[in-house]
Amino acid sequence: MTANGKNNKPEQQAFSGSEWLRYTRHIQLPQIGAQGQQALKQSHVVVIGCGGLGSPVLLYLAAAGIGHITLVDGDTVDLTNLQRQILFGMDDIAQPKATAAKQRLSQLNPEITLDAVNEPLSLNNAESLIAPADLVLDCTDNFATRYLINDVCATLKKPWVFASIHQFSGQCSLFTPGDGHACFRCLFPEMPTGVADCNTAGVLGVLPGMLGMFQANEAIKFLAGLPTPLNNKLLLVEAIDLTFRQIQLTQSSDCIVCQQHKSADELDDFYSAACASNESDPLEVSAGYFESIKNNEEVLLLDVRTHAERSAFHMNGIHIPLSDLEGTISKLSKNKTIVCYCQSGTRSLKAAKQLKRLGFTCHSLKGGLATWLKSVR
Amino acid sequence: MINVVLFASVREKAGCDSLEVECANCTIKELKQQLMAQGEQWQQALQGNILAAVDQEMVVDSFILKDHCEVAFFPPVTGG
Repeated sequence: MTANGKNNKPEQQAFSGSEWLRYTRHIQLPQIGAQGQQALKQSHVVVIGCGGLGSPVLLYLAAAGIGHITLVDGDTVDLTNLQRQILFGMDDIAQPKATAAKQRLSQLNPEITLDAVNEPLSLNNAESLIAPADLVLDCTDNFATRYLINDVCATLKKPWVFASIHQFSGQCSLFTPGDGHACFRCLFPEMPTGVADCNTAGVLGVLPGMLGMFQANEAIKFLAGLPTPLNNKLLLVEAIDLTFRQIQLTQSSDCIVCQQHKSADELDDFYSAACASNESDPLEVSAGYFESIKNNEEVLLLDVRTHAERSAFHMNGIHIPLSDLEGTISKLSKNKTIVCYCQSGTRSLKAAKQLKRLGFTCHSLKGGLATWLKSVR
Repeated sequence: MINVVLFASVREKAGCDSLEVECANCTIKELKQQLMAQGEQWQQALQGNILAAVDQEMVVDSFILKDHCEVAFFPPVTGG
């Protein structure tokens, strides 16, 4: 209704009554106001990874009223996730993460649009998923996907917020391609090797919460036009002693993406080489096979974890920590098939390779105790 | 004196969070060598893709350190 009382076409409104009420505490902030909240409502954010980092990121972005969120994850929810992936509960176990996350977030905020993509980010889908985004959040757990996000975002000039975690340590940064600032490859030009992920190294449950909230904080401020100090800076966080540093980054003069403008398609080999380590080694045996042979008399189970891990839980057999294996090998009998196991299958494969070189018949439990325990549950 | 602060797996492998080193006017590379000479745990801590920042700015190995600066050593991390 217009000022003169005539019933004309209704005046355009930025928010419905329920939206207005829901976002009141944002709109009250002079730095955000109705204008900033409308910018959030009109934004499309793509969150890659719905795990430890993705959980707090998605909860806060959905609560904040980001109008359109695409959730990308090819994984399913597992009991070991619940120690930190606060989006999920017991009922979600074995469900696809993106779909389970969408269900939870639509209960939190039915006013927003949510798309669940139940597949990992890959060279095939990266460009089409990222192209419509105003901002990308990297909540993944591996370098290959981080480089893919970097390279596609560089080509499409899409800003993205990076975070990663290790045990008690975290890193976070906002990359804005096309403005002369450093990219992820300027920082780490070569694919790092031998860096453990959360599944093998362990992680403090609140750490992805902390880092994910730094990501959500930068994302919301970026979209609402507020200062984003992590642009071209790398935040280093130590959760043990609460040490924080913000490192100023510099664009590298020989970056293959910033300077030579290589696209993700040209760098295809780079991502596949990084993922090659996920393939099976001939020494590895599946959890099912392990279950069928573990009680055979000809089989000797060898636990190569630490003393602390052994005392928490074990499956009988003998125990030699990987670090002591070299000095103890001569005491092992070659009459039995040795099946090495550890938490995730990394150390046991190293042990099996070491034993094989010395002429032992041996195997390694692929995926470690974690996978075996899930398969027999 | 130079204040060295360590992050993530670097502090875990070196077995300390921070330390003070007499190393003014030497380069990052020389500081790394001096620390790595302290034993195997330091060699493991600083080998590979370890990045360095001086007074919170990224630097290369040839950067020359001034007295009373802070050097941060940190690795790439990838969990999520």
